[in-house]
Amino acid sequence: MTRAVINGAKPLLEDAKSGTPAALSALYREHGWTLYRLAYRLTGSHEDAEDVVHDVFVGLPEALRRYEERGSFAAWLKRVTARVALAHVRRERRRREVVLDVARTQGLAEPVGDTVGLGAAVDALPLPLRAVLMLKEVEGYSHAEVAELLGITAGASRVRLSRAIARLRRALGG
Amino acid sequence: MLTTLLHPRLDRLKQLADGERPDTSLRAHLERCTRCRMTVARLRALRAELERLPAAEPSAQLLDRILASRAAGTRVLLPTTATRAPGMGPPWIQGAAIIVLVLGVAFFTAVWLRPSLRDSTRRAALADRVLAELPFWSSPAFAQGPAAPVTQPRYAGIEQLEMDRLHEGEWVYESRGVTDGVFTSNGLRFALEVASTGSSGGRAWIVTRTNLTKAGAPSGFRDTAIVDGTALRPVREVMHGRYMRRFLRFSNDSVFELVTKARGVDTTTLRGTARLPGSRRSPLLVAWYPLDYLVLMQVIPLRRDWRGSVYVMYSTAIASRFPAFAPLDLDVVGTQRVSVPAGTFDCWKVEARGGDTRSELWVSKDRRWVVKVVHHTTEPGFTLDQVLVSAPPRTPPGPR
Repeated sequence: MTRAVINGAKPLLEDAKSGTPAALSALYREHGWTLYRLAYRLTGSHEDAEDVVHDVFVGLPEALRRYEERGSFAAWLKRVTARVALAHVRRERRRREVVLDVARTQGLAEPVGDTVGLGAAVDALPLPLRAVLMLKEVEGYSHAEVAELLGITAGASRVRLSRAIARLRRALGG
Repeated sequence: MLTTLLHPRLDRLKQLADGERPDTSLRAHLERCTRCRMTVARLRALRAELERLPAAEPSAQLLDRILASRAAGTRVLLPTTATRAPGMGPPWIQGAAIIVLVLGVAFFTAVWLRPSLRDSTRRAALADRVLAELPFWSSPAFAQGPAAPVTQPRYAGIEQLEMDRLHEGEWVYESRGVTDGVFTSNGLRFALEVASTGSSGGRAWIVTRTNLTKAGAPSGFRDTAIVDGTALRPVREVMHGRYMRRFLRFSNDSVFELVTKARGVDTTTLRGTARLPGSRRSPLLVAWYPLDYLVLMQVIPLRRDWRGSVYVMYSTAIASRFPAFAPLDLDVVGTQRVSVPAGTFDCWKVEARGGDTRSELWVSKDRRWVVKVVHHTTEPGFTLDQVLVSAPPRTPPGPR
């Protein structure tokens, strides 16, 4: 277990608060891939996921000054990343025409039914449903963990998952 | 019996698909209901498909990009609390925010504006436009971190200001590119308008720079700032370009910057925050181009051998060859009579140095108007010149 995941390992976080490159690099190597994966599931885009992770680590030193050290640092970092990712998606979806990138989605999954590929069907879901679906079904978070990440209740997570699955089934002809 | 006639809800079947054990009645229903058995099977298959969705990996350059952004002074405010980011609350919160903003604009224009401004529809519209075009940011959206390392100024910070010399009016300048002192390119004109207003802290000024076409009409670029009337510190600034918008919000010690660049459907938003360098009693210039000291020069007590420094903010959000903040060192180096389209003026000649750039300013002795600027660029032999084309009537300054 590295120093970064132990709440009592103050030195690395203290260094990171001052923005030293070595401390930021250590935290990135420890958490970067997990946060990228989380951001990717929420944004659906490699470029957007990198932008999210970039923003998280660029803003991390200042954010650490507001970190109250309750619970796991890794969990706190994931919550921050999820919020940044969701804000990013909302911003981008408001500005851009939503276009299903057929080439990209075809590369993500083989067609399940005769109607539309799974990746495209997932992309077409409203963000609140898509976020819960990806975190619960793909990343394996529990409803309680999803609720904490997204700032909703566990009950809302269950409802959104049901709705997401119902929409997927209709889209896939199942 | 009833359970076997009614189908379970989808979320209940989903729990079965995830491995949960069915109770007695549900088991009995599944034994009789082909449809629900198939639904459970399809839900299991769907989950298996979802789990096989591949994820890309972050590029090897991402960490370098992060470190480079930090080194360049880029800062991002992260949502570390449950506070919703601006514009993303439920409709009733957004509606309340709009109402507050509208009331704030109404209060500002009706109460804060001086009577002369209430009579001036155009000046009231300036305030309305500045405030209405600002995004609604909650008060926690301020930088708390230290600013990136800033070069130290050469001279003491300017704190002695003659603010009562600043007056309302409109000045029009023409910019020209001059190569080797001979060739003059067709330049653009811009209008600088200064209007006074009031605030709870005292007098304030609205300074607007508008680019003009050759015919004198606005060409699409506009930069409007509200500065305080004590030390010429910026409070708000909004810049509109053809492809870019820039918002700046200042507190006593921090700045928040939002830049939106849009071309067609592609939009990029950049954000930056930073702590302000220097003294709060000293002016702070906000410059997209390092030529925006036309208002500053009106209030500096120029005299032979005078010198002083201020800080200039370029951008905390956009990486460029300019740092986020840089000192501007000003030095009176002589006197000279200058003729420009607006007239002939006896001037102080001021040298302004910022980083690797140097400008010469000719400032009229009577009204402290900048009548001519020669900006020496990094390109050898090429200068950007600005000359005063028109100005307010030369009435004496008000009593101090």
